[in-house]
Amino acid sequence: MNSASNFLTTALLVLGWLGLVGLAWYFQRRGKPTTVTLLPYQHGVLYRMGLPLRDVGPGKHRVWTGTELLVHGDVRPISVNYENLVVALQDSSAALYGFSASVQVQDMRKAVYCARDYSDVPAFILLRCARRHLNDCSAASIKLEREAIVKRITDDAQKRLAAAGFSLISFRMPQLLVGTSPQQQAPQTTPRLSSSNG
Amino acid sequence: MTQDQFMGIFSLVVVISVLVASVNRQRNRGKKRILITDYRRGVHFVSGSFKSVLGPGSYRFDPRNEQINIVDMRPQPILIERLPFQDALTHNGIISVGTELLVRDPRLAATALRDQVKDAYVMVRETLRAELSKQIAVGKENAANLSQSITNAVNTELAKVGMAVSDVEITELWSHSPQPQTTVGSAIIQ
Repeated sequence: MNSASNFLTTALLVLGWLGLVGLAWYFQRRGKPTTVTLLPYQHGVLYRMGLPLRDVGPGKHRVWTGTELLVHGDVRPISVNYENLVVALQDSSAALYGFSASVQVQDMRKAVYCARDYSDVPAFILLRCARRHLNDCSAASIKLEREAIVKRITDDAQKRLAAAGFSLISFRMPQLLVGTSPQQQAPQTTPRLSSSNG
Repeated sequence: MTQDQFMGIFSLVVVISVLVASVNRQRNRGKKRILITDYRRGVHFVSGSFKSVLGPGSYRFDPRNEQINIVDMRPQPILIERLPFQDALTHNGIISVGTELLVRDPRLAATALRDQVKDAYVMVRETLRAELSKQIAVGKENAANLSQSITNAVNTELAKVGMAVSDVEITELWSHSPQPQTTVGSAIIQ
């Protein structure tokens, strides 16, 4: 009886010790457990060993630092506002335009992958769409079909933004004037992401 | 098996595990851990020499003689707006383009460029201007061909530094082609 009891005690000790060693090995391999809290306006993607595991919403999330990473972003609307931009038109005249828009992240995973900094993407897309569609117009068509042109820009931007994981909440073009020279450089009132004047 | 034997085995297990732990600790001393996500690559250097490009995963490295430079493989949208140019016939024009910068070769991009976006942006702009100076009668009607030739020229240039661009979209194109002036012409003929 005494021998059996000793055996059991020693076996338990050995097992306990092995369990401790196993735990130490597991923690060393997996990393340290931490908690990341996402606020109501934040969404993210959880990565394990560098690969996306699942999309996560607001709340507390357990993350093993070392093997897991929670990449998160802000889903509050992004305002894009540009004024006094000049675009050449098809009839060798030019237009002065400005727009304001509001864009929101719809799909955080798509947004994470669409660019190095996803918050720049709405401005890039809107600038591209507006300039492209206005450049296809003449001064007369801008005067006559202003609403249709703005709708074309909106539709094109919506498609491109959706492909990048965003939704266009609003788009307005309060400034659209025709008659300046195509080579004129308008005074820049808003910061530009990337522009060149030679 | 007696109690002494069990205690002996237990002590042996303890000693072995303590030894293994201390060896492991010694081996990992000073090492750092890095997690590379699937949209990044790690350019791994050992003692100043390139070793490999690391894909997604978790890696331990010794910062005393190893370095891992992270390269972001995600596209970087760029806009070149209202770039003045002169075509082959010295007609003035203005072009705006939009495209995305991409990393094709992380090793080359990490070693050839200090700032991938800024440096590549300058290269794109200069190549664009050079390409346009070779063109004759640049107009909106041949914008598709022009876009293709610009994309090819820019990609040829950027390939030298491990970068590339996606299809270049011409968002604005204006070229001043002066109309033939008959009065001046006739005066010269006379």
